[in-house]
Amino acid sequence: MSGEHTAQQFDGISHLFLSSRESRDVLSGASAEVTLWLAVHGRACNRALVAAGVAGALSRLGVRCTLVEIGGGLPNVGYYFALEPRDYLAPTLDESRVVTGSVDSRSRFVYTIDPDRVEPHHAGETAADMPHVIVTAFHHPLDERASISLSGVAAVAGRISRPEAGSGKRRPDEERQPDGIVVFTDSYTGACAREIDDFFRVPYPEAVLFVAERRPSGGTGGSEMETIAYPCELLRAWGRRSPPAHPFFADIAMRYLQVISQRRKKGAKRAAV
Amino acid sequence: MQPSKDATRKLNVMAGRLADEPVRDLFTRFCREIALFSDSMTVVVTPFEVRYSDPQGFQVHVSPYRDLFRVSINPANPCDIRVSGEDGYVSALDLALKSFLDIHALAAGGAEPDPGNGSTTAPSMFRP
Repeated sequence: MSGEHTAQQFDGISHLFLSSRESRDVLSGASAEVTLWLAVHGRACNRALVAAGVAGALSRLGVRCTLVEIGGGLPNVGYYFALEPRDYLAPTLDESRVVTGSVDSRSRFVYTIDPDRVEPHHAGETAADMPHVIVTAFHHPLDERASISLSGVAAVAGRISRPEAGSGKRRPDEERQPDGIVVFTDSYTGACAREIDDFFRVPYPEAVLFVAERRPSGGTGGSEMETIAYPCELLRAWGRRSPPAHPFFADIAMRYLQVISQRRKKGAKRAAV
Repeated sequence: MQPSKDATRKLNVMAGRLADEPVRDLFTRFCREIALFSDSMTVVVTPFEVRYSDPQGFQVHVSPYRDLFRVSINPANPCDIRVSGEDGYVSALDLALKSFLDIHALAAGGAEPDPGNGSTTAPSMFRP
């Protein structure tokens, strides 16, 4: 394995193709629903910023999105969706408080310290028949100290998910495994690569996995995982009270929808044979 | 960065200067949230205040008195907030967070202009 390693921009990854079609067409079928995990390692990538950025990008692409941010620490997504300080800071005064709000008329966000507080998807919601992406953002230390289990994250998506969505017959309270995972890390070292394998690649082999690294680490640690660069200019948007509209997030949203769509089509063909 | 056991003990002693339990609770919560802003936050407990700083230049000093605690954000360009209830706590924490994020943005080459929505609700009398 080469010791020379530089994180690529998304545009540099050529084996994924971009389509000019509206992304809402990518997820065909009224009950189409996918889950995307944003696992943030360390605070330097700003969990709330990447969560708000991805949710905003999905929303702009015409997809209904439910964003769930889990865990303590500030900022939270309420800051980036410009809630009043009293509202977005409420969980710092009472850990049981849940911050909710709207991304737009179709999409909503939820922030909570305690994942058990996330309420089930409400039937009859606006645009409930539209394709739906559940984005769950959380910190993960890439070791056993994780304050939230990945099973717990899957359970949150399960509670939000429509019972008829996903593969096979699924109970309303059943865990929903991720279709895609982005791991954001300060530096993608060899040890980090092994931990990502252990925590995400091996347990969730069906999920489309990318690593976004903030600082090029100079080595892949023996992993063949594709890495993308967390754009340094994103830091300039840290203090702004609005979701960042950087193309990085649109690329993440589009690529995931495309890749997941391709996998589903292949799966459907196999099932038909 | 988590404060050391010694720093935590000193912090608890300092919180004890506050007479009212609700204000003491706000002090403890405020200090905890500031410490969590960054993995590289440094906490120094002096006899009269708690000082938080990080390598990008963010600084907050928190000084407890009998009935309130004072929050000084970036002491070089001071913005003091007196906290004796939840309104002051929310203003102080919001301003400290905004300062932290803006300092990191400036360190990265300049902050993007804020569109102005959701601007801080700190009382004007406390602004520098």
